[in-house]
Amino acid sequence: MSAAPPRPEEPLIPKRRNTELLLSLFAVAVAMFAYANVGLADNGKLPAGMWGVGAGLAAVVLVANGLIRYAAPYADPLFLPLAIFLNGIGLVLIHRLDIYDSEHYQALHKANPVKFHTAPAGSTTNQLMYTALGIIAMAVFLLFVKDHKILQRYAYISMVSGLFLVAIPAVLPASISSANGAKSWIRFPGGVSIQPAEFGKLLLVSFFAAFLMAKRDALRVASRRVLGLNIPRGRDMGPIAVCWVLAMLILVFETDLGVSLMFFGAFVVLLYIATERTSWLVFGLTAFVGGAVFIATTVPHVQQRVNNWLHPFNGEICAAQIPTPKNCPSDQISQSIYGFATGGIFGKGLDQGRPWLVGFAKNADFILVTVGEELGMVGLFALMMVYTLFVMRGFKTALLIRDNYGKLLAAGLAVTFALQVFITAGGVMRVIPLTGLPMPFLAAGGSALVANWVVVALLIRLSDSARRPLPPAIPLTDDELRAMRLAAAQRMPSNAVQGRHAQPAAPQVPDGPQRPHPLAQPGLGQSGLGQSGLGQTGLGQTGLGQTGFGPGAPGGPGGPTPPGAADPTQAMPVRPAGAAGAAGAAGAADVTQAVPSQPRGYGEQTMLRAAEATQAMQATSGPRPEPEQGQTESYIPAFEDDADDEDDDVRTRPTPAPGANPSDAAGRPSPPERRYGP
Amino acid sequence: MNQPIRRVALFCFLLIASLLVSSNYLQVVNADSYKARNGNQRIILDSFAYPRGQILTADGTVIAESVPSGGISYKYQRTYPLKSDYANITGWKSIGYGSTDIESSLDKFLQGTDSSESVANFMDTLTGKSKKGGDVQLTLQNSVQQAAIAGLKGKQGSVVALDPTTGAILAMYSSPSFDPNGIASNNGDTSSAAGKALENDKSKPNLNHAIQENYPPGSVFKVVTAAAALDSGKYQETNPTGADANGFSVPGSGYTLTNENGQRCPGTDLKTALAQSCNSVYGYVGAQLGPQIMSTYASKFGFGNPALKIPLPVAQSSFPSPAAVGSNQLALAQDSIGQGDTQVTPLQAAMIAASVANGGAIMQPYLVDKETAPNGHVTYKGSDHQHVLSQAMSPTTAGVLDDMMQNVVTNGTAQNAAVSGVQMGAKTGTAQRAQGQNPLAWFVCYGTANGKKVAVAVMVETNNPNIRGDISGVGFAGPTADAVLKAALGVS
Repeated sequence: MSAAPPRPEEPLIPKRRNTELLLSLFAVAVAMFAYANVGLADNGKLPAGMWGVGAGLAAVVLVANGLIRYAAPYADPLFLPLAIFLNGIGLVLIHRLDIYDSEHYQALHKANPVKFHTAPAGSTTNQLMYTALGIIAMAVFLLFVKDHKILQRYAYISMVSGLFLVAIPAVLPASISSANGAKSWIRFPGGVSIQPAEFGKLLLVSFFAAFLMAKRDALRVASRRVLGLNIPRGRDMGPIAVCWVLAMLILVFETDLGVSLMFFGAFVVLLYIATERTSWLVFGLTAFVGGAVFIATTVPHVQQRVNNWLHPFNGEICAAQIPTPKNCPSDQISQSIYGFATGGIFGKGLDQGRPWLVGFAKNADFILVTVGEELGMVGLFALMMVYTLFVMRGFKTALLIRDNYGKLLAAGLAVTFALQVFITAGGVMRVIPLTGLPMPFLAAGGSALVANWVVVALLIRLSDSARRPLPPAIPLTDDELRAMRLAAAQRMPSNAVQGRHAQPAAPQVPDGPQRPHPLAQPGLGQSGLGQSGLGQTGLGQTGLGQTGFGPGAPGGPGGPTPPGAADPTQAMPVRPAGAAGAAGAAGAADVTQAVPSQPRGYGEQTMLRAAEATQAMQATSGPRPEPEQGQTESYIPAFEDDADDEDDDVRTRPTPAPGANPSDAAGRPSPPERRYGP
Repeated sequence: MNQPIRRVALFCFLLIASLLVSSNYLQVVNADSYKARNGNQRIILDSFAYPRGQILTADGTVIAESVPSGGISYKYQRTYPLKSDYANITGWKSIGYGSTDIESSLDKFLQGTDSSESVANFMDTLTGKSKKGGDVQLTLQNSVQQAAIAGLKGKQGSVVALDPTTGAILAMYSSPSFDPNGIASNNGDTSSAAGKALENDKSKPNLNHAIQENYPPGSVFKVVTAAAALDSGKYQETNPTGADANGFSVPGSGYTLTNENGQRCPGTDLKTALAQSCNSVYGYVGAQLGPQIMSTYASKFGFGNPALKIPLPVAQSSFPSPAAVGSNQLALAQDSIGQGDTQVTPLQAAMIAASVANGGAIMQPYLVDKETAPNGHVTYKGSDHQHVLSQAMSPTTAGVLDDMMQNVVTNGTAQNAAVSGVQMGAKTGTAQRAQGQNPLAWFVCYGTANGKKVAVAVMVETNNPNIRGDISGVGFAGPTADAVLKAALGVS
């Protein structure tokens, strides 16, 4: 058929934007109830600006929801409401602590107007401003970054700028960068100060994801087995050693255990996810714990934190001595413990406890004490469940998304977020030594809040890509199938030989106008394949059971169309080596039988083919070869994931871009009556 | 890559689950032990977050209450409207100096956290009433207390008045006193200045001398010796005791115990000797009775009782043990006339008088008349807990002693203190102290009028060496005792 096939209908996938809107408005309502609660407990009246603030937040929600409808229509509907909820509750908690500060000042001012002449600025207004800034940052990100894979291209720039941001406070003089014992700030004249590491960590996670995706085969395959552990080769230890040194340097020079732990933890976890080698986890943890123990016993600041953790009541015991000795340790941890104990199961009620006794950083690192004391264990559990949901949606996105970079990035963001929650809350609740990280979304502080909204933007972008349906596939006729399979079988031998190589030669795929990815190493072919996915898709449909699951499967509407698709050299399917080849060899006959005489749902057919191909592969190739692209592996669980969760039931059926493939157009008529929609 | 992602997700869930476990540990399992720690400021903040109960006298005069402080951490502050009048009864409740006396003994009830108030608290929570503490009403009567204060004005000394039939304490005052409002101030500077001033005051005004300080009782103790002598059956009220009226030449010591100013005792019988307060007779009698009997009787009157609480803790009055005395007749003779190692609190002195007025039975002295929970429910009544502390002597002996002590007023050293219209018994005392110190003036008495009974003990301490020769119990302590007696009995 010479004419381009008609553009297939977009499948009906629930976008859940209305759910998102409703949940977000609910989150605003919860925050407003809490706000009203604070006012009523404080002076028996509703806060003066309550309706204005509520309307403002609702407007923000509407705008954000509208934006997501436009820019990321398939995004996970939970990220925005969860972030709005946390941010709203954070605002209320900060407002509650501001009330104490202002009342405290008024009492002092009344007693001594000369000494106490400047009212405290309060953090609520700033936090509101940063919230707006954060949401703007999210909007800008979603509008300008249409596909997360763009970020992959800037991996090394990410690394350099990320390291710069993390390291710069260490180099600056202490007068600019030091606060509360940690050198992790940049203070600008005029009272504005930022924590660059908050942004640096995002860039580094992005870099880790891109780097590990490129390196994973080298890291996972080449190893010796010693004592049940796969020991990596010495030269592959390079990256982990660099990261370890970096984490230790942060620890020593910025005395910031929290950032160091998060940074290194995220790297080790991503390394594990990318390589699936437990040995990396063991190495990473051993290295970090060893280094941390060494530093905890030598660097005074870190040492002090460990002591405060082990003996939280030493501070108050020391301060109770008469005369009070100098340099008593901080009593923040004991005050925090008292706060939680006082809150009990149901809490004292908002504005009815004394969380301000914690003193410094009461509305930042220690903001959880306010939750524990005033909302009780019940409120704390609820909050933790919200954090858990956020993290788990991040992992869900990682499971669903089709490309490896996206998987690593989503998992990395989720892990970083979970680690930050654990490190901060664990420090406050005396599970681990206090390390000084702000509680995500809750704590007062602009850098962290804006960075967290960028995390939301990233996850929305990633989840949009994960849930976005691929355009419906055009099924082949039985005749076409047979023809394709025959062609495949003829090409078999050379491919089978290739498949036995540990590192098969990847097809040289021209990238078209796209700039070659810096990490796209010829021997691995990861990004090359990913970026030329359309060529693959054509092949996949020829009976290899790959249909729709290749990492390079084209994004749906809105996604960038890989230029390779239009390249005439891609007219003939490029054969992936290794597993696919082996599967193709054995699967040819089977699949022929399996092709049903009656038309049936394309999804079922795909499943059937996938399963058969896998079986065949296992039967013929003996031990299952290491799939070099993560394709076979990644799609099957992803598919199961889809199947067991109706919400995310995005059945992915790739199709060639209309008119993109001349051979398709010529040799494969697409009768409309044989198109099976979802 | 999905399998490791699932594992990592599970790991992250476990991390957060560990936080939940920790929350449970902090907020439920260990919450009470954390909350009770000394360093927990929230305890003290709580006690100033809502009004504590009032402390009132029996006639309803408010002597301690909570008022809004205007502060935000410490919302209420304790004030004492009558300033120094009840300072050593109420004590104080201060942010920096903790709590003392009734504020300390009944701290939980006043705070509203006593278990007896839990029902009231629960009901108040349900009905939305704001939290407050329970009120404590004392047995003290403001009129009697004011008489005591007026009587000791400008002097150093103590007064205790109690109802002999119930043990209820009607007045208790120790002069000089202090104003607890300074130390109870929520203003840290005011409070610590007042606290420092108190610490540096050598007269120790914040020590309740009436119950927490021991003094030699002097001749007042002869009542105890007389009770032991009469109860023993060896001596009768008016029979000669066989003592030397001029002085008791203590065997084996070469020392003679003489009477006041070396006078000769007009008679050697117990009655006359008590009226004239003859050391020669009572020293002799005490020595004759022996250390065992004397010690036993001192205990019967309440000496050396470590558990005495009213509910303020009371210092133990002491009489040397038989082992300590041994065969030292001089020591025993001196102890028996209230010198040597005999030490009493003014409360103990009042209890001696009260036992005579109450047929020999000493009622447990008490200060708290009733405790009223915030909802108006009376949870404690002092009258339900009245009991005999000990039977100091037989009722017959008490009757005889009553006669002897009335004789002190009619014919003896206390003649100047006689109050018309009141049937009263008394005993004066002038207790010698260390070389260079003025003797203490004592006056204990009891009286009956208008169907009421009261026992009073007054002790006055002086420092001016020029008046040393003029000090007498009746002259220095008598007028105050009379004023208190009259106020308590309602006679003018």
